[in-house]
Parts: sequence; structure tokens; C-alpha cells
Amino acid sequence: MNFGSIQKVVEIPLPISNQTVEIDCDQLGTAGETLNMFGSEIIDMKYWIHFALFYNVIRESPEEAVSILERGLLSPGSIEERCKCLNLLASTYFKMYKAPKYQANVDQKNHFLVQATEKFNEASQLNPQNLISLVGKGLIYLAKKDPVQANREFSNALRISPNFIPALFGLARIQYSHKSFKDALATYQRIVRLNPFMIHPDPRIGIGLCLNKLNRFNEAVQAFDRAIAMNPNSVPANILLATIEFDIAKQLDPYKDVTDEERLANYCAGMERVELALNIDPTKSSALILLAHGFYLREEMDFSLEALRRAEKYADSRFMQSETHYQLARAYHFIEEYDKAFYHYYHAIDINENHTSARYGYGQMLIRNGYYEEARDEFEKLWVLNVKNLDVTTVLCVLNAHIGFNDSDQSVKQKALNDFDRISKAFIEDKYKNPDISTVKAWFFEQKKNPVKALASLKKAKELYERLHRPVPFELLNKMGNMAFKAKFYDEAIEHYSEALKIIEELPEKGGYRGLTVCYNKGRANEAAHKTEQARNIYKKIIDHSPEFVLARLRLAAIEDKLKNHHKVDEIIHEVLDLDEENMEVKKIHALYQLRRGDFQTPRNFLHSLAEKNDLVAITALGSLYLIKARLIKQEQEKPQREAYYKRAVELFQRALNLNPRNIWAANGITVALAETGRMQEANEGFWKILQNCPKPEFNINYAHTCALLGDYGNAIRFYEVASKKYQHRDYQIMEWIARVYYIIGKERKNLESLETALDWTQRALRLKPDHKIALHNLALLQQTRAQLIRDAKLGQSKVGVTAPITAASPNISLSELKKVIAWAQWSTKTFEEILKEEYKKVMFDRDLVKNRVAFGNSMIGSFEKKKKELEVIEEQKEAERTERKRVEEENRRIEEQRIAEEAILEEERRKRAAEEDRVRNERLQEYAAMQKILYAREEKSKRRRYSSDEDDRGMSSKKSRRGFNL
Amino acid sequence: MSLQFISFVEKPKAHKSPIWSVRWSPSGNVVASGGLDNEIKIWDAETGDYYRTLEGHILAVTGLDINPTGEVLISISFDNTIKRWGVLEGILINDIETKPGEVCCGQYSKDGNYFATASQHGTIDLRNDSNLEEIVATYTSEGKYGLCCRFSPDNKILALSTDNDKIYLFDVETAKIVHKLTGHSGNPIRSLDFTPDGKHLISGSDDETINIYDVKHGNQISKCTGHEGYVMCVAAASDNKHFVSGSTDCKIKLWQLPEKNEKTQVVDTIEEHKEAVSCISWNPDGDKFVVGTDNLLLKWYCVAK
Repeated sequence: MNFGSIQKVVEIPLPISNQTVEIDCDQLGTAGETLNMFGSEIIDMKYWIHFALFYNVIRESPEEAVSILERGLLSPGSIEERCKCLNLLASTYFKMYKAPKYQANVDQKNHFLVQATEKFNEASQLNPQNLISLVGKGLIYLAKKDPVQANREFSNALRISPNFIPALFGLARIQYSHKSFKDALATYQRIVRLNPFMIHPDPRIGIGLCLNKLNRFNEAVQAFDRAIAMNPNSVPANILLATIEFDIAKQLDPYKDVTDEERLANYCAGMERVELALNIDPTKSSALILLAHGFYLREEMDFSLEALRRAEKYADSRFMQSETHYQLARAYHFIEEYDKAFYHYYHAIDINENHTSARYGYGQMLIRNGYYEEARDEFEKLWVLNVKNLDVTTVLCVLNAHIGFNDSDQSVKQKALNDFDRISKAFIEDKYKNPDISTVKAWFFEQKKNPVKALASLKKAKELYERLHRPVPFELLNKMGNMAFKAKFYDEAIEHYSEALKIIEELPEKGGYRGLTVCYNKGRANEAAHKTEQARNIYKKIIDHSPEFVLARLRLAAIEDKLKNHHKVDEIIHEVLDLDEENMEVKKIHALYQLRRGDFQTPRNFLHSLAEKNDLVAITALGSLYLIKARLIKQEQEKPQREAYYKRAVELFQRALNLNPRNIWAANGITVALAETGRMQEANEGFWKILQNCPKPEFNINYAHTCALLGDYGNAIRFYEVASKKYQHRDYQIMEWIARVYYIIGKERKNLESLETALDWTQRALRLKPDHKIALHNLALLQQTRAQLIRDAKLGQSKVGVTAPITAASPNISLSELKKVIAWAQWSTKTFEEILKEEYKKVMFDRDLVKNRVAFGNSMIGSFEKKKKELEVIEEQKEAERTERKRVEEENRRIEEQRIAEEAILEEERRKRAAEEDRVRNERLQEYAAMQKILYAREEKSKRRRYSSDEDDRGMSSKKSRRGFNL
Repeated sequence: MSLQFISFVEKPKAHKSPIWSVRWSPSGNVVASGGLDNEIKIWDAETGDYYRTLEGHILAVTGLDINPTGEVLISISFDNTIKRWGVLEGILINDIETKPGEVCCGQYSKDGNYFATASQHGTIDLRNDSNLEEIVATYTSEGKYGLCCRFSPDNKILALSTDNDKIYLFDVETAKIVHKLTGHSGNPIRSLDFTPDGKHLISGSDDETINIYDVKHGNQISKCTGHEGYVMCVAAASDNKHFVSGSTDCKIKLWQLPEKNEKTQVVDTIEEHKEAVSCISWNPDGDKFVVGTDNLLLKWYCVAK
């Protein structure tokens, strides 16, 4: 397809005028003029084709070539010529379809493509074996992004002619686009073997690209080098080589270990190549873009922009135009001209919606301008385009989390949070080995107020840093510390802060203010872990290092305040005020410290001055101050003063409430004043309202107090218990209040069970504070009251003190129970006696009352003892009866036993006698038998003797018998 | 090595009120528990079967211990008595009266010859087991209320914790203070335990932390944080490597004692309880322990790898 050898002068026979004209193509006018020149003359189709080639190639005017060819089609010509003409027409249309100048006009473009398709099809119909039409159709299919159909066309062509190079190029392109780089490489190599000198297009460039994709970089460079050797003017080869050089210079993925020197060399070589390419073709937009890229790498943005402005002019395809916009945007982005960057990013993706880098930049610009949802949509598109790399995912997560937490629309919020979950779950952290996503997840969990999960994510991030052998940033460790602190893992927090501080030690200026903050955080963690000494040392170190770090000083003051080292608190506060005497906050904190330790005088004026400035804290604090003052007045004659203080307190609280109706402490203060001035019902209602707004244990207690005073014991107990439970039952005072209510119930309703419960709560309080003398006293009181109740109920003790006669017949208390009650009474009396002793003097007991209790206890013990004695008498009687009964029973048993024994003896005797009789009888029998035996034996003997005398005469036996008969 | 708790016996409503003390007899045969309901109950150590109740205290039982042969139990109560019981027969042997609010905690010496009680004046009274009324020695600290006292395994040291942050280690022979330990920032220390090798002393405090001290040198070697409530009880396991703690935060934690330069680590945490865990006692083999809670529950655990 080399058009460089077009014959310039042609001789054309004109059949109508029967002449021959000689036409010098260089002398031709426009296509219209040429068409007019021939008028109605019928010239052979091949001449038209010739002219068309001329217009197309030399004049570079495909439009004119098209009009010539359309006319040519009407002329006579062989089938072969007709095919050629159609193919040429189709190719020209296709060329116009791809031409940059038509890119903007979509209709026109499509028209060209339709025309190209039609003409190639017509050619194919004329000659199905025509290779050019087959390849042409294949290329059109490629343009239509239908590689399957395209492949069919190229394969058809190759079946007809296996070595048809244009078809092979098409095949290689399809293989390359299918990422079958090995196959594509083989195809390109086949083309080189078929035509080793081919340079338009150069299959070596294809080889180089394939090798590059196969990570055979050195061979790729060699391939491009050979392409340049074959054709030093090969623009693509130069550009591609330059690209590789730049990639090396940028230390992209495969070139990580390149030294700085090498990088510079590669960069220079790259620039050289680009310049060479531009020398050959100064309008080559891809070379210009690459040049700009080169400058961008060197951060020479002016040059870069200059190159890009030229590239913009020459960009001949949508792809190049889009890339130019992207590069422009990037350069503007770099020099922080965001509006321009925004514009160019937008145009880059407007022209090529698949330009992911540009979309990424566009997303960044949207974020910059606060269009978070729009930005999210952009990054979501990237995600959908399968650019699920770390950056995109991270940004997407952040945006979703941000929208999720900040958007006012609930559904938008929920969707964003769901998306966050979906994306972060889909994201396999290990795959990317980048800690950022874990950091983002941590941030997400932090926003969700789940410090444990946040900490786990941060640990993951740290692990990834370590696995990648990247230094762990101290900010991450600090964050880990913060999360551990929030999760109340104070020891762990200290460890993270310590690790962060180790890194900070190495930094220039030791991290400056941020380093100090980490140090301060470590102090806080130590404080929270009750490592007071360590915390104190840390704060002192901070102050030594930067005396102006007020926070550390205030923490020190807080520690000293907790340890009740009041003068040290004052010292520290004065030091702070020496540095900054106008620091109102510090002054206020100091005033509150003073108030809390009972010093009402010193801070009063200051608080008043603050209150005048409508400082809420000061006003509320002053209100409390007047409440306390009012409370301190006990004398009845000073009642007006007390009332005045209460009034003042209420005024102050009311003012605080006017400034902020949600100031719960002011509301509480007013209600306390109501309660303390006896307006109990109002106070009760007030506390109930406060409790509904803020269920703090303090308010539970206040409400319970008023309930108790109003006789609503059920609620009093319920709300005290809620408060106690909230404090993990660690507040002995609440326990005492609960006990008190149960005591009142027990006394009022004469209910032993309530007293027992009161006893339980008092003991629980005493266990928490075993040196709590009041609890001990209360225990004694409860035990005495229990004993008293039982005495009243069961001993028939009337209130006038007359002991009802106790009849032995009706003892409604058992001795063992009575003994227990006596033990209670004795114990309580003994305890009261103990309380009267010297060492209890400092505890504020009403000693006379205690003395009365001792007396009462003793008298009660007396009556109990009396009862006990009676019971003991009864018990003794019973015992005696029991003993007697037992004795009788025993006697009876003994007699019975004796009887049985005697009987047994008799029986034995009887048995013996019987046995003796038996024995005697047996003996006699035996004797008799023996006698008989002897008798018998004797008889036999004598018989035998008789027979033996007859022995000689046996034949006489009959005689004998006969003789016998004779007897 | 990862250890874990596994529960194998559970006795809900073991007592009528919160359980404040529990002791697995050193001879291994029984478990005794006592608490706010004034009662002491004896259980089979392995099956948790109920044996008998020792009745006699008229106020809460605040502490109890069993002698090394497992035959005698001494209980201490808010009713100002120290009672000595025959565990097997369930009979009261001796009944000693003290001053009101005088004692709330005590422990047998390892040979069972003595019984030490922590007193409200910050002293330890050493009593003769055969005659509890006789105080054979008094160890006086400068502290306030004595909350817990413990014998070292070799009986040479007595430790006393007080309600104001101090732990005193006394030489049993000379009654002199060997070490004074601090580190609970002014808070009461409610429980102490020596490791069986006598090297470490563990202390649990209201400051929500547990300290580990080197007994020989008297210095703190570790501070364990993690509980979010008063640490009511600590108990060292027989392997010298682990201990357990119970707290008002309703949690039980199993800790691993630090080896050189390590920190004490939580091996396992039980979060199943609804009320404060007040008392814990190991079996003599150190593979099982029993806990008593404010939720009236006794629960047996074994430690499994």
C-alpha cells in the first residue's frame, strides 16, 4: 500500500471523443473541477482510482477522493477493478471515520462507518475471496469493538492466504487486546519473518509491546531499538522507548531498585527519544504528551503545559484528546490551579469516560470543592470500572463514612454507612498490603464509637507497615494510644504512646507540639491507670520542656487536688497565671477547686465577675455556693438569712437556666432549694422531670430523697437502688439511705423483714467502710429495734411498760429464738456502750440518746432474761417431764428387756432340757439299739453254732425243715 | 500457653444474701462459704454438694479460714465474735468476743498453730489456735484500718493492708516492719495474697488496679489495670505463675505473673456474672477455684489449657 510511487502523468483514452488525453496529476484542480473536466466522457474505472489515490495520498483530501471514487463506480471496469474501487472507497470512508476533524460530529462519523461497511460488503459480494475487503471488514468490526466478528473476518482472509500480512496484523491486534500476549508476539514475529523489511507499520513495535506486557523488558527495549535501527524516523518506536525510559526514571513497579544516577540517565534518554520523535513529526500528539509527561516528572510545569497546549492542537483521536486534557489537569493540579485542573479533568472524562486516572483526579477536585456525594459517585464509578485499588477504595470508604456521619438525610446516611461496610468488606486488605485502608476503617469505627474495633484496625495498619518494612508513623501509634485509652485499656495505651515517643525522639525538634501532645496523652493514660507518680513525672517533664503547655500544669493541679494537697494546687495555678494572667479558664478552674474544698470566700468575687459576663459555669457554681451557705445556717433565729441565701441561689440557677434551658445542674439546684425549704411535692416533681432528661445517679438519689420524705418508700428504695447499682454498689452513703428507708418502714409497719433488709444494707455499707462508726451505730440501733419489735409482739410488752403476765401455757416464742433476740439486744447494747467511749468522741453522736439506748437495751435485756428464765422453767419442767417420761420408758424398756432376757433364759433352759431329754432319749435309744444288736448278735451266734453242728449233714436240711415243722 | 476458665459446678442461691468469703479447705475436702446471711455453709469440694450450715453468728460473716488439716474453721463476723468450728461435725468449739467493729479479716498460719486477725487500729493480732483469746503477739503499723492480713508461705512474714494505700510486711519473729509498700494512690487495699513460692505479694485495691510486689526487696514490679471496679479479691495459683481477681465490675480475671521485664497479662476474663465478685479460693492443687458473688452464687471453675 505504498502510495509514494503514484504515477504522476497518465494517458487516458476518451472513448466518446475517441481521443487520448495526457493528464499531469500535479496540475489537477479540485475534485469538482476534475469531475467537470471529463464531463460526460466515459473513462475507465482504473483512472478514477488513480485520481482518487492521488487526492487521498498526495493531496491528503479523502473527501475529494470519495467524490472521485463515487463517480468511478459508475464507470466501466473489470470485476477486479470494481472490487478495488469499492475497497478503496470503503477504506477512505473508514479513514474519514477515524479522522480527528470529524470526531466531534457523531452523525457524520456514523455515516462514514455505515458507508465503509456497505462498500466493503459490496466488494465481498463481488468477490468473496477478496482479501482486502475481508481485512477491511475485520478492521471495521474492531472499530465497532466486536473482536469476535473481526476475528472471523481475519481468519477467513488467512484461510484464503495464510501469510496475508494485513490479516495477520489484525489477528495480532485481537490477540493483544485479549491479553494473549504470547500469541500476539508469535503473530508479530511471523510477520517479521514473512517480511523482514516491513516498516509501515512496523511489526517490531508490536513485538516490543508484547514483550513489555510479558515483563521481558530488556527484549522489549531491544525490539524498539531494532525498529529504530530499521527506521530511524519511526515515531512510535521512539515514543515507546521514551515511555519505558520514563517508567524506569519514575521507579515504577519493575524498576524499584534503580539508583538515582541511573534514573537520571534513563530520564535523559527518554527525553532524547521524545525529542527525536518530535523532530520527525513535530505534530505527533502522543510525542508531545510524552514530552509533557517528561517535564511533569521533572516538575517543570511551565514546559509541560507548553507541550500540552501543542498536543491539544494536534490531538488526532478522542483518546489523545482525553489524555491531553488529563495531563493538563494534572499539571494544573500540581501547581494548585484547581479550577483549571477541575475543568480539564472534567473534559478528559467527558471525551473518554474510561479514563480512570482523570476520573480519579475529577473525584479529588469534587472533594476539594465539598461535593462529597458527587465525588462518592465518581469513585463508585471507578470502583464499578474495576479500579479497586487502594486509593480508590480508601477514598470511597472515607467519603461514604463522611457522608454517613455528616449528612442530615437519614436515608443518605444509612446508605453511605452500608456502602462503607460493603466496600471495606469486599476489600481484601492483605492483597493490597497498604495500611491506609485499615486506618480509614479505624476512623470509621471511631466515628461509630467503637474504640475496640478501631484499635484492632489500627493494629492491622501497624502490622502492614511493619510487613512492608516501612517506618510506622508516630501519629498512628498515638492514635492507637487514643483508641486504647477510649477502650479503657490504659496500660496498652501507655505502651502505644511510649512507642510513639521513641519515634518522636528521632525526629528533628522531637515532633514539636505534636510530640508534646503524645507525651501529654501518655500522662493522661498513666493517670487513668492510677499510676499517679508516673503521670506526675511526665507532666513535670513536659512543663520543663515547654513551660507554656498549660494543659500539663492543669493536670498536675488536678492530681494534687485529688490527693488533697491544696497548697500545691494553688501553687501550680499561680504558676500558670504568672505565665498568662488573663487566662479566665484557669482562674475559673481554680475557683471551682476552692469551692469544692469548702473555701467559699476566696473565689466568690471572681465568680461574681464571671457571672456578670453570663458565664454559665460561674453562675451555677455561685448558685451552689449560696445553697451550701443556706444549709450551714442551723439556728432558727437566723432563718431570714437562710431564706435569703436560698432565694439568691434560686435566682442564680434561674439565670443559668434562662441562658441555657438544658443546664441540668441549674435545674437540679433549684429543685434542691425547693426540697430544702420544705416544698417537697414541687421538688419531687422537679427532680422527676430532671431525671427524665438526664438519668444520672445523682438525680436518681435526689428524686429518691424527696420520695422518702414524702413517704413514697417504694419509689425511694427503687431509685436509690438504681443509683447504687450504677455505682456498682460502691457508695456506702446510698446504702445507708436505702437502709434508712427500710428502717422507717420497719418501724412504722412493725415489719421485721424490712428491718432485716435495713440491717443487710447497713452491713454492706460497713463492709465498704469498716471504720464507719455511724454504720456501726446504725447496726446497733437496728438490732435493738428488731429485739424491741419481737419483745412488743411476742412478749406482750405494752407501751406503758407493764409486763403482761406470761403464762406457761402460751409461750409464743421459743427459747432458741429468744436466745437469738437476747444476743441482738446484748450486742446492740454493748455496741452503744462502746460508742459512748472516749475514742468515739469525734463522731457526732447524740450521746444522751445513745445513753438512753443503752438503758433501754439493758431494761429490754432484763425483761428478755426474765422471759428466758420463765421459758427455761417451762423448758426445765418440760425437760423434767421429758426426763421422767424417758426414765419411765427406760424402766419399762428395762423391764421388758429383763422379761425378754428371763424368757430367753427360760427358753434356753427349756431348750437345754429338751436337748438333754433328747440326748437321754437318744442315748437310751442308742443303748437299746446297741443292746438289741448285742442280743441279736448273741442269738445269731448261738444260731450259727447250732447250724454248724448240722453242717456235715446237708442232705438233712429237708429233715431239719421238716423237723422244724415239727416244732 | 493459653489458659481458659471452664465452669464445672454452679450453686445458685447458695446463700440467702451476698457471699463475702469462700475458702477451699487446704486439705482439699470441703469448701466453706460465708456472707451477709450470717451463715457458714460447708460444701463438697468437688461436687458442690451441700453438707451442712454452721449457725451462730447474728451478723454477717466477714471472713473465714480453714486450718491445714481441714478440720477446724475460724469465722469472723460483724457481731464481734470469732468462732471456731469443727468442720466435720459442724459444731461450735470456741466463741471469742472482740470489741465492736474490731476485726473483719483473718488467716491461719501455714502450720495451723496460729490465727492472725487484722484489726481496726491497723494492727495484726496473732492468736493461738488452741486458745484464740490469747493474743501471743501484736504487730503494729502506722496505718489506719487493717483490711486484710496474710501469712507468707514460710510463715516468716505477715502482710497487712490498710484502708489508706499502705501495705506493711512484718517479720513474724521480731514484729518489726520489714517493708512498707505503697502504690494504690490513697485507696483502700481490700485483698492480699502471697504466691506459694513467697516471692511475690499481690494486692487488689479500690483504685481498680492490682499491684505485684517483690517481697524480698519490697518494690513494686507491676501494676495491672483492666478492672473497672474495686478489686475485692486476689488469689495466687499454686504454679506461682498465675493469679485470679474478682471485682465489683462483676468480672473475674486470670492473670499471668510477669517474667523478667515482662508485664502482667490478662489470660482470660469471665464476664458472665451479674453482681460483684467478692471472694475467690483455689484448691490445693491449683487447678480449680471457687468464687462467691453478691448474686448469691457459688461457682466452681477449673483452668484448662
